[in-house]
Amino acid sequence: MSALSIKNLTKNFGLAEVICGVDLEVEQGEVHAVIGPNGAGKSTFFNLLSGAFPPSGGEIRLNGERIDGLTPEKIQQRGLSRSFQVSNVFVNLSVFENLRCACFKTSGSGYVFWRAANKIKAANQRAEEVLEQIGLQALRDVPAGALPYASQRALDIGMTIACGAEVVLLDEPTAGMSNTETAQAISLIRQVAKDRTLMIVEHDMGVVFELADRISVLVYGQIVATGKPEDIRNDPRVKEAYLGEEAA
Amino acid sequence: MNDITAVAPRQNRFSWRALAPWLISAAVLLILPFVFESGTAFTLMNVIAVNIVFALSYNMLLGQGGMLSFGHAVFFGLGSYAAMHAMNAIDEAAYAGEGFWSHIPVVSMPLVGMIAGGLVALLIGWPFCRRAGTAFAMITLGLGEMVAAAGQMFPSVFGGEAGVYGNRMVGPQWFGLELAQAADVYWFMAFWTFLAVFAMWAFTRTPLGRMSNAVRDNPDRLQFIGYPPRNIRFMIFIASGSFGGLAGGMAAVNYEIITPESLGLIPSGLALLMAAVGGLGVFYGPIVGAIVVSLMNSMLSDYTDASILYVGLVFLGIVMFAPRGLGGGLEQIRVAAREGSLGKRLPGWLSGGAAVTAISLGLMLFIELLFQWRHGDDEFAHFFGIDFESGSLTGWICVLVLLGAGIAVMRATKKLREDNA
Repeated sequence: MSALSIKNLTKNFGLAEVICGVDLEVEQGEVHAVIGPNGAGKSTFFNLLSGAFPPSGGEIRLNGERIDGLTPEKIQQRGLSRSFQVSNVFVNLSVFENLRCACFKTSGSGYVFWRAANKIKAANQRAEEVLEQIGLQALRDVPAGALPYASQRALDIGMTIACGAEVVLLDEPTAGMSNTETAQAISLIRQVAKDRTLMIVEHDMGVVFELADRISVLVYGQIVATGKPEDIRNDPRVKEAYLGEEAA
Repeated sequence: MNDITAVAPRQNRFSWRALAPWLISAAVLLILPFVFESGTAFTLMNVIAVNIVFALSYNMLLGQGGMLSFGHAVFFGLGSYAAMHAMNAIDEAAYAGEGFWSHIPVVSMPLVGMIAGGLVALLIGWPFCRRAGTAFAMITLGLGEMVAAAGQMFPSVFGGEAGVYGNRMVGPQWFGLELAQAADVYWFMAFWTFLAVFAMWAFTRTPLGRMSNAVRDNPDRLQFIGYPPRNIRFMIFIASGSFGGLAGGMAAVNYEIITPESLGLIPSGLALLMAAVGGLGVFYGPIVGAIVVSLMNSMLSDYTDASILYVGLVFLGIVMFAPRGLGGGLEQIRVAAREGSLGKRLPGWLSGGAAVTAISLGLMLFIELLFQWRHGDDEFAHFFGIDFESGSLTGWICVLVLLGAGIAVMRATKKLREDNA
């Protein structure tokens, strides 16, 4: 069974059709990159998958279950979680607290007001694990809003994986990073990908070809090609629609 | 796994440092009645106690949950009404010598208020909590005015304009508290204030407390870690309403009267005022705010006719120049002391303080002179024991000198800080 199975997905904003009939199967455990020129609808596509917007038509299945039209928190509960293009953290909470909040769902303790947060063992342990995984132990008690940009992005990814999602969407995880930071981000994403299905939207072709098992090319709301990186690199339609455009 | 257990106990370990504020405040509560022995002092301390709980419960919404409410007095007032009716039920039952209420002590009235406040929030809160921000502010404003108006419409429950009276010296006595004198009421207040403050502090340490900070910072992201912002807001709303009701129950015992006005915008505004003056971002901020504002409200009028104007000016000054409030300032000093940078920063703060003092004095003299000029019953404007006359130039020149000096010191301070940084 595919991790994500998308059939004839459409989305219009008024008269403008932004996603026009996308079909896509994302296999269990793969890293699937979505590339495409600006305005192709990549972010909208992610917003539909994660429930930020309801689709106008078509269906999305997560491990065989319909998730289209559900609210973000319902989709998250079913095991799909996402990070954001712009860092999206709780700015006044410490790094650790951000992660711990993201861990409450798994232990079902977000509404608990009769026990101290420190006593919720599962959430604390998981938060410590993720903290180590994203390499921010030294910044544990710093408010997230005061973090350097790259660390904030790492924290964002950490929060995305903290809740134990099996399918993770990363929206431009390396945008705006220096080369060193990008290299660090790639190694973090590799780790994240180990036991999960990953979908990433990314502009940096180097990152895409380094990470992705398969690539889909989205142009004007339609997928023009899906395949292994080398196939995509050599696909004439892709060259015309995307790589050619970038070269020009 | 091992390093996890090595890190985690750091925050669980019992520490005197964490306990110290509680021991100190308990000690202060115990000592206060021996320092201030006059009846007026007790009356004032009891008002402050009510306001501390009220302001803190308000800050659960605004400071911790990011929900600006203009209707918090609804919970305070309805809690107070519930406690007042319960007190009257005790009175009747005790007189008859039977019935459920004859066993209930007046000391427990804050609990009645708390249950009432929480229930009201539970019943009406859900539609309010869909959004924070302006929508929430407007809805709560409407709620407050609506409930206050309803108070006038149902005199059997709310007592019409005269309100509902009660008598606290009824029913079984606990701990030998007769509650006849303000001094007796003080121990009742001290007990409930300590308990409520501790409970509200503990709330901030729970998962829900942390999630309420999360919904304040970024409600959109909250959805993507699996929680609908509305549910979290609703739970904060109920918690805040409960503690608002608890403050109302304390007030019922203290004042022995409650009128529909206590449900309206003015007391709701008082909650906002106290929380903002004290600082929304620090847990103990609203406590500081409640003390300062209560003192100003009750004592300033002894010294000046323009007392309300001063309260407004303090509020304005803090919102504009120290948005983190008095508590935020204290916290800054505490952090600096802990980091050992106090010595370096103190000169800047002191000279800043001197500048603010000079400017405030100038403004105060200006206001007093204006008052005396326009409708002074007195011949002189009294100003810290000095008499000024608005007809002569001396006073006005003093205003200019004070303001000028203040501004000069302010500039020097700015330069000093830049040099230090």
